[in-house]
Amino acid sequence: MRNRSFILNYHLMLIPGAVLLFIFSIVPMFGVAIAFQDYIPTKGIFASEWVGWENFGYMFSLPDSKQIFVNTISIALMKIAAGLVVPFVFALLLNEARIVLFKRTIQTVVYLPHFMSWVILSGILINMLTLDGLVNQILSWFGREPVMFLSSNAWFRPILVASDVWKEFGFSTIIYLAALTSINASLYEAASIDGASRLQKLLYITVPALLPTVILLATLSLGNVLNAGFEQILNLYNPLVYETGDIIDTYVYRTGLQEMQFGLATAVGLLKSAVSFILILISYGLAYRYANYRIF
Amino acid sequence: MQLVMAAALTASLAACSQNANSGNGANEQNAAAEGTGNTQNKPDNAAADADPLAPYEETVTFTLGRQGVAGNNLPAGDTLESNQFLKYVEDKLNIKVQYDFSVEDGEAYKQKVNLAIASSQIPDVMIVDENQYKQLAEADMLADLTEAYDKYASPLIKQYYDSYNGRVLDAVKRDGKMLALPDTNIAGNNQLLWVRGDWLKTLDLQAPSTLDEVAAVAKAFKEQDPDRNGAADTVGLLGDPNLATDGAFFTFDPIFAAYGAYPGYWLKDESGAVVNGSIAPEMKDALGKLREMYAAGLIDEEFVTRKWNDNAAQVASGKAGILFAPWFAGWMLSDSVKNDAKADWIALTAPLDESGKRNLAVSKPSGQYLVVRKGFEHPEAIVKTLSVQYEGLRLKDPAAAELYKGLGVSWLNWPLNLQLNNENTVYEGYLRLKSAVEAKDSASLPADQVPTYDSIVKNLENPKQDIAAYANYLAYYVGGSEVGSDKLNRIEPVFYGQTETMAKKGTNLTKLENETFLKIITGNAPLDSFDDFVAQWKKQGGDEITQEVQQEAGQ
Repeated sequence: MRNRSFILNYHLMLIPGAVLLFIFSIVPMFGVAIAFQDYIPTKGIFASEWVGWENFGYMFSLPDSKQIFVNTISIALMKIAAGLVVPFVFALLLNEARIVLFKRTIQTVVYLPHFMSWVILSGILINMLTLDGLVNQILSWFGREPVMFLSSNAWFRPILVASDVWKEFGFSTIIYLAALTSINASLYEAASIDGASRLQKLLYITVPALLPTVILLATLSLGNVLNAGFEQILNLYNPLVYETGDIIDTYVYRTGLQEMQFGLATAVGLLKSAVSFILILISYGLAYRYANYRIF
Repeated sequence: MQLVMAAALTASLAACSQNANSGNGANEQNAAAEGTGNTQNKPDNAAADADPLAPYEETVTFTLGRQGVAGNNLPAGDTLESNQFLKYVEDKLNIKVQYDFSVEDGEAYKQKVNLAIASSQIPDVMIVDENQYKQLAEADMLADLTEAYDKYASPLIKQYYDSYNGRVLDAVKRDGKMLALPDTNIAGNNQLLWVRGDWLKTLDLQAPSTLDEVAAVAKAFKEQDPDRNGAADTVGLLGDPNLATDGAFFTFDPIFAAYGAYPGYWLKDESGAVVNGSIAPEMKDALGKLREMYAAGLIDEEFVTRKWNDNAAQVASGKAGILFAPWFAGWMLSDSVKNDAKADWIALTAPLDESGKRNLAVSKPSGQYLVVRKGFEHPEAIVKTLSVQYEGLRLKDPAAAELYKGLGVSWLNWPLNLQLNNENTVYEGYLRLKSAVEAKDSASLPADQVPTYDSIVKNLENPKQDIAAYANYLAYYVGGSEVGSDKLNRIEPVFYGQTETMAKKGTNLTKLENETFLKIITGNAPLDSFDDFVAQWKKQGGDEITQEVQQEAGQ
């Protein structure tokens, strides 16, 4: 009896979250119907004409769709890879620092860009990367020709990845630092008594202890394979780098919101969601199996 | 035979729907408010005797959605939503304006309106673009303004529209009904070539007129240190990634036009067939020239990533001395004087083509539409507001001159930001100013030109001392004089609107076009990729769209 009311409390606490989820995530799902319509906003979902798979057919008939998918996936994969490696290495380095104040300060400073919006950060980046910007000035000290980074298809993706890592690695570092604190200190003591060097302790204790966290983060990020960073690219790209930088989201933005092609835009978005859903299932399966991760 | 039948049918249909409408309107009014219903009926019976701009007995309120004012210069305490202009309208007509939304950024405003339409919750009054107007009209969400316009529009407003000989108002009519009041795109928003006159003098150059001369000046500005500061910090011709847009700053429209190319416009070729200017063979020649200029460093190397503000900053900081922009660029250009008192801009009609003409595709007659929600009880109140606003704005009412006197507050703070004017107002205004300045007497000028006259005289007496006066001088006097240049050769496009396939495949074609042209100019793709582009453009929907345009333009 007592047990039951105990559980009831938890369920009551769950209600606000569930209601929010219902209102903002479940109800709007009916809007996916638009993907199968020649949607005219003023007529609404109920009166617009049904066209079946036509929007999807049109999407794949677009000569750009292949390029857009390739761009999206390659940019996202590069970001995922860099977003795993950089904070991991950084956390290990920071962990070796002895002065607590130094450690904390660095941790806070690298965490800061995470809180700034891409509109601001892209303004800073554009200033740094122009022909007479900071980066090109430094290049000129070494006698290099200035480079137009933001209109160069060779440079655009590396810039996206590097700036994304710069913005977000402080945040991921914290997760690794948390994992580091949970390593049993007696392991290090035992290793010291056995005469292990610092490098050996790092390789044989710290890294293996962090590995489950790395695997977990890696598998969970699979769900983001189709999220290449809309805000960032929208603020940085220009027509010259459509070839390497135009992604699903920017394309949907241009067709959907700017040209009011809601049907096509929804179809593209729905396809993206469907693929992401499958990837999340796969990643959960992998995490379940190899990282002992459980949701249910 | 069929045509006559169709015409008769439309006429009778229009008559029917009009009757039906006025019937509904009367019922709604009676149901809504007895008091105002009575005042409404009076002018119905005798249109001539009642003052069309008489105030309402009971306050009429309408909600409004419109673009806001970036960098608004109202005095402290006043806002777009509450200011003396709104008060003026309220005092005159007993009409209250309630802002539903205003968004400063143009693109964001467009999206806001799209969302309002999509959710079927539109304010009583909005200013929308052509696409949105079509959507609203097709969804039957708009009030018929025909009657309200006929009865309540002031002579001034009617005179503005009439100066276009029906090109503006007829275009907006659907089945004979006026579902919107369009704005009027005044003539003369074509790009002029603005050049730093002081730099020309320093380098001992003539004002350029052909394209080769323009290129030579750009080269000299880039390479010969025109500001004599000993550093190679100047750029050549400024540019914008949009390449060509009617009335835009920094775009290359005049260069395309010098080759007889009009990207984006629908024109008739010699055989009478409709073609899009973007794929015409002249386009390739023009792109070839731009490519050559870019390779030689005569065009700002980074124009592809420049935004409007970046270019304006280059002007203000004295890095740029040659650019294309319409007459009203005077305000932007005047900023350079703050940094360099010697800066002096001249406006030229250039580059000219081989026959000495500056070709020019005539602008779309209107691009913005004032619409009223169907079911709003007093559509005539909007027409009245517009009439009263323009009486004030153009200082036909002397009392309006006292509003924010001498503060140079933007006219956009009036409630309805719908631009209306005589087609040739810029050049006619310049001619009047010129004769007044020469006679040193402003008596001949209409009231709304007197402040401009004063600032021009002020600037002529003490050049560049007052930046605002210098800006007015540059725009109305220097730029205005070129707007009526006799070298202009106007080309009439056959179609401005949007067709079904255009709406569907337009994004893709724009992307293809923009990407290809920029690549050609910056040397990232060979000039011959233009031919490939033409084939792709046709295949990806261009041919289909051309057929639709041919059909619509043929009607």
